Amino acid sequence: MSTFSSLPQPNSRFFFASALSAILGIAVDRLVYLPLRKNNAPGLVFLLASFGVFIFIQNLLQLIYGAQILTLRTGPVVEGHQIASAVITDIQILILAASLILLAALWLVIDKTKMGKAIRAVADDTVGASVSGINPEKVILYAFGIGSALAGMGGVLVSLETNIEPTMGMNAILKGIIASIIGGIGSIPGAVLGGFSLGIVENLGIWKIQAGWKDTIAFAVLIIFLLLRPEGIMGKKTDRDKL
Amino acid sequence: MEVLRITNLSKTFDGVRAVDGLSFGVEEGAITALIGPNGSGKTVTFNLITGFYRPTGGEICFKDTNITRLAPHKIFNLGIGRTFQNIRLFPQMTVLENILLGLKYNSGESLLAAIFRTPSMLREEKENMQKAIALLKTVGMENKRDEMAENLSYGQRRLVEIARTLGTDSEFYLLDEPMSGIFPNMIPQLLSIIKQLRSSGKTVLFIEHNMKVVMDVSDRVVVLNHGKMIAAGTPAEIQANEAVLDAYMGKRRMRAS
Repeated sequence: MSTFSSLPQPNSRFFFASALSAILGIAVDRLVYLPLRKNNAPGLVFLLASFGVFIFIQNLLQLIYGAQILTLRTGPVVEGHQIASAVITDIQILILAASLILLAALWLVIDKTKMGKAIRAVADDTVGASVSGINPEKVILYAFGIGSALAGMGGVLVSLETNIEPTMGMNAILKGIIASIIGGIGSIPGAVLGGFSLGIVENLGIWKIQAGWKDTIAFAVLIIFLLLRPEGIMGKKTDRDKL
Repeated sequence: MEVLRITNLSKTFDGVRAVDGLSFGVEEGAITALIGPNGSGKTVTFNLITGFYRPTGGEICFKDTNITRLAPHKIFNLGIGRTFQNIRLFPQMTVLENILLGLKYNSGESLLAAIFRTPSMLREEKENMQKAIALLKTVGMENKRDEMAENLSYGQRRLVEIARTLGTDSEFYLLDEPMSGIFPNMIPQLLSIIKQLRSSGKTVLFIEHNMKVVMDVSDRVVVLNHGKMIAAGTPAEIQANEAVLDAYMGKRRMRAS
């Protein structure tokens, strides 16, 4: 049985990456989204702007590091643990454990702290939040910081398992969106359930057919959900006319 | 003493003068009604006072503070609470959570307090819970405490919004049409809540179309038309005011005479 010695030791780079991501997220909010908010831009404009930011950062990364594939792996490759007929590596266990810890922390922040309540309030009704003494701009700043830091940590965890390249984000975005739609947008347990369901369906699917069909399976699941249950597994049916 | 002083306030939207050189004051500890025909600038005035609109010109002072260009949450923190004509609740939260959000928290709910469930936090949570339930009782909504706000009727949402605003423990309350959409048997209850605010030394400014309510509860009435103040005085004075009758009924009476 192998030990966990093959794992990269928890080092400052992990925290550096998440801090840098948080700063980047806040900077993007201040430079791009804040001016749009001030002009009361509709949601579609924010979506387009976010794609603009995405393409800009992707190209910036290519300019700095080149377009080639890099690896983050330190240490030798070690055989995984056999559980029934499946194999799980130490790194995969680490990713799973780290994700669960981050998930619990996020749930605690969103559900139990005053800032979490303020984030939910601003998401629900910015004006109502203002007359409850909440500064929406401060809350948006925190939300961008928390979200971007989590994205940075997620990026580090993913790159422990796979190669990294500047364009790797697109796949994560698409799968993230599909998972959150399946799970129910706005629900943390829903996002987890959606992510796991999507991953399991994709990988069971390519067990029988070619691996190239993985994305096709993901989109097929998305289309089925959009047609039959657009609010997702955990989402509630919202009645837009009522409010 | 005046708690609020508005001086030469104006707000234009693309050339439309919604509020046009408006000046008036609100007496501390009194109930003042803001009335006027539709489109006379009442709600715009509310939005200017509470910081949701930036005035084109003029000044708003709350006690000794110039609040003309402050952000809404800062104005709220000075002690000005408000309700909205088109109710602002958090639809994805329960009725109880909506009320709790308006209450003041002292020890705060930091991440550490949430993890370790500190005694001070638990005590405060319990106190706030009792306070929230008491507030819901005053508007007769305690049996809906665990209902999602989005599932309530229009009138019920208005009552919850009023309860949330009462819970903010402000000094000065601005209520935008608090009676509209309310089931008639709740109106006396709401009137007594407003009167109770006055007897505990709070100041109330409210917009209302129901003249019976206005005349019954207010100490002073301010009448707007076309963004200007056309009259101010006691309910009795306003009822006898020629300019007010013209604004509401048109000039037909003059032509007839």
